Amino acid sequence: MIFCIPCLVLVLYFLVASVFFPKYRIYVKDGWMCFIDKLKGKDCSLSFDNKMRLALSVWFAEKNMPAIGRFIGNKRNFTIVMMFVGVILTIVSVFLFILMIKFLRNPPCDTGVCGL
Amino acid sequence: MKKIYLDYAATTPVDKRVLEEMKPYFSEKYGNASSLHSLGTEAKRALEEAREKVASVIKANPKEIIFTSSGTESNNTALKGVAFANRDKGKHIITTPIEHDCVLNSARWLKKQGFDVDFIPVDKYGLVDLEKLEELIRKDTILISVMHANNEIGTIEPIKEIGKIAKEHDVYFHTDAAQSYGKIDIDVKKMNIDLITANAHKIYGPKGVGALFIREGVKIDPLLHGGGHEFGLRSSTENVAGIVGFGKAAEIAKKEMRGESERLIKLRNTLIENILKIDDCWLNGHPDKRLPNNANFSFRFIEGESLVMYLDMQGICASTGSACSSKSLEPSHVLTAIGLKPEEAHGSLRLTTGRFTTKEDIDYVIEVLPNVVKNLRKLSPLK
Repeated sequence: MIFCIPCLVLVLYFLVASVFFPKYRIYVKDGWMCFIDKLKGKDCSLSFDNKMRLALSVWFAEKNMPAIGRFIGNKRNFTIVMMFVGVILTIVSVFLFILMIKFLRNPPCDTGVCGL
Repeated sequence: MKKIYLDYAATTPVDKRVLEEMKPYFSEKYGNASSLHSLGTEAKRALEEAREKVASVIKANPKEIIFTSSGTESNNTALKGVAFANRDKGKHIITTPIEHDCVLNSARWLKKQGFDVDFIPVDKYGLVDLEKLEELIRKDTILISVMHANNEIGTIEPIKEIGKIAKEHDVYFHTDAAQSYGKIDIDVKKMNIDLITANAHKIYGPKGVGALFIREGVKIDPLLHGGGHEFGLRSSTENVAGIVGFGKAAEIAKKEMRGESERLIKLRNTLIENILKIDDCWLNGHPDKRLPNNANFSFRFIEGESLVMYLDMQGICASTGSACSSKSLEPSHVLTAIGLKPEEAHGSLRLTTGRFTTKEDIDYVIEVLPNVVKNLRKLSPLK
């Protein structure tokens, strides 16, 4: 079930990317279906995770970083990296959210901190 | 992104003309073909017309055609039906190692039931060794089963010669023509074929319908027992809509065969000529004796599944081998039988064209594939 996190990270990535590049919208749908499959403990029915793993490793190969491409191409490595990215993104998002709440309560400019 | 479909060997889209022909038989002319009332007799008439159309493609008598649910069922019926009906005559069956899984697994199952099964060796092109075939025939041989054209590498077997050998030795000859029916000429009488398998979804007909030609006089037991449908050889309420579709698909295939075949050969040859320019790449199967629409390549240092997935992301639908076996991690049994090493067999790509393939589609594939291969090779641990 925990292996749904890589798909969730990809869904979030494509959600943002599809705002600027509409051609990525289909990946949001595919990624979401994959996320649900993995949440239920099943294999991804559309092979979305395998396709993304391949796309990412080929991207590194195109940028002349084949060693990283081969590393990411390994299923286990890809899952670990994406879960790590997911955890980091969550920590950063929570931190920024807390900061936003703090600044909404005490705007820095009111206390003269921002120097304006 | 436009999808370019190059997996016609796996299945084909239903032709609009076929779909129109089928439509009335779902909700208007929905009678059971065994019923005596007018709706039933109407369905029966449509069934028999379809039977004539399917028979005419292979120049058979309509009474020698039975409809099944699929090519797999037809092959199972042919092998198991003949084996059990003739076990008083003998228990020896000969086939090849490059048959479709449904033939191979039927043969393996028969072996467990006490039958002897021998496999005729094939050469590097997948062609059957006719001399070895004659050597393998024994007094108790009851059936030879050799596919007309291989679904993976496209090689066309010398079935006329095999039919002649079978007839000389008084052995039944079955051929799985799922890939060749409606695409190349077949004459069951001239080729001495006793049983032939065909299915609809390979010729722009619906899935779920197959046919088996059984020459009059062949001793065969049915697989399905019941109401005695299909001359007592395949009991089950007939899929009238599907069969009508099969008939229409067969009619269209027969009419357009020559012109379509020439067009597909041109497309195939363009594909082969250009793809072979890629380094460390070769064509699998016979260079000339191959299906008009089939091209199968092996690429060194590449894994076929990645190749297919990457091509899919570029909008190209292809396959590594048989769709029926695509979930298995084992290398293709066909490619290993023709002598490829496992890592070479894993790096294969099958491209099969069809009625709706255009020159522009082929040009796009030729443009995209070299870059795909180049990038995947950069990632290969084998290079």
